[in-house]
Amino acid sequence: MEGEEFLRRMHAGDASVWEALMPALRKVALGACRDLKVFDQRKDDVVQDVALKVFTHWQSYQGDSKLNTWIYSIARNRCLDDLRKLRVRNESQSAAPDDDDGLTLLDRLVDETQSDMEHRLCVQEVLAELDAQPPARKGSMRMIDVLRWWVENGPTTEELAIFLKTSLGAAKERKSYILKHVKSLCQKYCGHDECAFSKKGAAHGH
Amino acid sequence: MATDNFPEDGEEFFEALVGREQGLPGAKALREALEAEAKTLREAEGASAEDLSADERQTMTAIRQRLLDAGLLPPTSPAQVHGVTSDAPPPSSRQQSTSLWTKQLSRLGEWLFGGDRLRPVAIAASVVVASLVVIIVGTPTNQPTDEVMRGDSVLVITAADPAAEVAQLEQKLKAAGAEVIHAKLNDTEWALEVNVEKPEQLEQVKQVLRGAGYLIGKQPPYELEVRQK
Repeated sequence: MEGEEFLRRMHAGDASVWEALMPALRKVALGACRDLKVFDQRKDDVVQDVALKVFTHWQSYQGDSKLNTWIYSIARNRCLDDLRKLRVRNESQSAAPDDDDGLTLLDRLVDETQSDMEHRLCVQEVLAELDAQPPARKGSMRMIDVLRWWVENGPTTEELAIFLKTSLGAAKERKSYILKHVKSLCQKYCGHDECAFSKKGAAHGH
Repeated sequence: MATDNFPEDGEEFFEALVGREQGLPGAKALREALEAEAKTLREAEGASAEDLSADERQTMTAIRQRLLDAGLLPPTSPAQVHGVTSDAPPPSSRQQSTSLWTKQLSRLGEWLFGGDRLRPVAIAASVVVASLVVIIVGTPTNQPTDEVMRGDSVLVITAADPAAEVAQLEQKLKAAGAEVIHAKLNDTEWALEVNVEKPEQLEQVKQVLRGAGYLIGKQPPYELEVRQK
């Protein structure tokens, strides 16, 4: 369903909106679980929470991004909550290991190592914050949308300039600015300079 | 000036972002995350209810019912309510007021996104709505266990100073015999996981939680949240 149609149906009080939205909502929420590697047992929770958020916050959806992209950002944040809890749990356990031989709920949230989880968390935190930026000024584009377009199309800087309807110099400056911003976010969320996006940081197990 | 750990300018990073440069694992990780997101969104475009298994359909029906019970989904078709079809153009804000459903949602929207004066009330109201859904989810039914949605242990309270509230609560819970792990989710939200090893201490822990405003109806571990008022 397109965003405009979703808003029209919600404004009209159309009960069929659930049937129309549900398959994609579910697919997006489960896809986010897969992308962030949230463990199977939490998936139904995520789908339910995403549905709840979509229908409590639908009026905050402005239609300036695709509906499924908006839903994905909700699902990403929901999965990030699980990963953050897991990180704290793991830190706590490594500081004071307990004698439990059974796995706890949070132990089952993800199925990979702590360092992989840290890396995943860092990347997704950066993307979530970029995604939370307000709509771009008229004629401009949000950083996250530039990054999405860049990864999807693999263009040259000249093509980026055409896409952004700007000069080659301005496109280069934009890339430099985005890199600087991504770097600052990475340092913010990784908590140290050798963040996941650095050459050295990766070598350190990120 | 760039650090030693980071590319000097955007060129190297952006080239690595599309796989034309090697040696920047961070850019690769970012690319993979964005590609995974794009793949998920592509897959979702073709999603159909027919693809769901009977179990999956049942799960989604249960979620729908909970949304309906909480008043979050429109209860009837627009044709039944006020003759608006889904082909109609988006109604103006004045037209929206003709529908009771939309009236309620508009009011909630005004609270949520309107004036600062009402925002705290709105946030509290939304927490109540969310809590109601959670409570409904937690209510025992005739459904088999597999059909009962998890998430019923996530309860929320609000506090003017969540950090202080969490610290105080943790102290009381530990005194009552609970194991407590807290996590700061962001500047305004904290998460707590509370477990009780000894059954004889459970009631005391529940009393502490009830005193803090939580409604606990099931066995531990409890996943709780404290949000800023």
